[in-house]
Amino acid sequence: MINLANINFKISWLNLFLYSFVLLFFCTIQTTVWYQFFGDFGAPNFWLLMLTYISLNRPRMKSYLENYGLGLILYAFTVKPLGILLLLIALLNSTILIVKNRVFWDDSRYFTMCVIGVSILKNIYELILNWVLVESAPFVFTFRFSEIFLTILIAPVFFSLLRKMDEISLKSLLKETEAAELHG
Amino acid sequence: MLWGGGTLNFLNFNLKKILIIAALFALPLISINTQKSPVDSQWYNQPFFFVSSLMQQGLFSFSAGVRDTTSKYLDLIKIKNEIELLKKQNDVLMAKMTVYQELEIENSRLAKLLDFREKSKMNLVAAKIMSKDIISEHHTIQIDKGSNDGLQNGMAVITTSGVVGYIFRPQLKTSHVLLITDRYSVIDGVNSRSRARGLVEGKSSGSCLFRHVDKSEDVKPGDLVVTSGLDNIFPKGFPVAKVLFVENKPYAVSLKVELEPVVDPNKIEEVFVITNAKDQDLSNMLSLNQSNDDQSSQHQL
Repeated sequence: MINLANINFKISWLNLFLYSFVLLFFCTIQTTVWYQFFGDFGAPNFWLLMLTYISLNRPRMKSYLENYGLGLILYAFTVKPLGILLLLIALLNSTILIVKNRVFWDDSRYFTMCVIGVSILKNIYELILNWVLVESAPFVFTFRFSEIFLTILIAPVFFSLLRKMDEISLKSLLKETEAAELHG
Repeated sequence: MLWGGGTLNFLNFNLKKILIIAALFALPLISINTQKSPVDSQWYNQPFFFVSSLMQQGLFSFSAGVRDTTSKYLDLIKIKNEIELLKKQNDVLMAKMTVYQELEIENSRLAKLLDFREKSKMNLVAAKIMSKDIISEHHTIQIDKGSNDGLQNGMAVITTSGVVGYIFRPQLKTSHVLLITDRYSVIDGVNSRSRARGLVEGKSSGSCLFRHVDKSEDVKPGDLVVTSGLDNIFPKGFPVAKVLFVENKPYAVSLKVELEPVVDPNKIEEVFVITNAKDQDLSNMLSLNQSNDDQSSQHQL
């Protein structure tokens, strides 16, 4: 299997478009459809899955830039200040990169393990950021737990979807990179 | 010799044969004579009757069984079809009933909203709730009306029961509403009983804080906090929340008051956006409404 993170990508507009569309689509599902059916019950964080995937499968700089782009789209769905949102994203991305540099293998199990860690860390970072920058908010454990559980549950399926999207949209770039490597 | 021989030949018959033939003819004749009535049965008939009745009984049981089973099976198929038909009819009726119940509830809710809209002099824009905030620790909702409908940043969002929040980031066809329970939300409030003033700030999905209330002020659990109208966002005297508990710490500057919002944002479907809240006083209207409600409840009792 090709490690996408080791390939120096050029910008693939199709890939960016696909990711933006999928993020918007799943954010709408999370905020509107889920709300209509399940009310205030914790929904899976689709954006967190995308963030984890991007961090694991993109070069360092590109992962930051793409995740900041993700943050900009996410901002349309929340009252959270953009600065705090981007800071949270940067912290999560950095943590994933630190872990990835030490241990990495490219499959859905590793992705799911990362999602478990990121889902828990997201809540810890949020608590710290609120405490330091804004004001501490009450921590509703059952709600957060349901969110984490559902996010982990759909992680393998989401990994397959994002991998398929990469295969479709990055095919030509992958071939170019492989050819460049072969020809030295 | 000839005669004798012929005679002898004529007389030469087989007696045994004659006896057998006579016996054969005698049997029916005897039986005719011995039978007193056509319905009587004789001893020699009995075994046949017995065997035939056994066989008839067996065959009848078998055929009756087959016929019964077949008819039962056919009945079952028929019943099954009927049950399925009835189930479908029942489902349709249940669905219709649910729709009627839902319509009834919606009708009474809308009638209440219409009544409120007619009684108040404010310009109100009715909107439906579409979605909630993607980050779980924040409490915002999105409504289906935007700047195309005249909505602007900071406009008050209410229901007939009380304050919901205010508009932020209005788009062309949708708007975000910052609920009073969000940490970034602040509303100027006043205790309806003692007129103690303070700021209602969001805390969690089910609670708010009444801040900067002077220690000397009279605030008790159960008191109703209403809008002061000083922020020019909300009309004066509209219910915000009820006091849950009050803590008076000896070295604190102000009282610590926790509130429970009058409106549960998870249970509302429609809201009103007030487009001209300036100089509106709802205190009288609400007190009138309350007295009307009390009277109607007394009538019901």
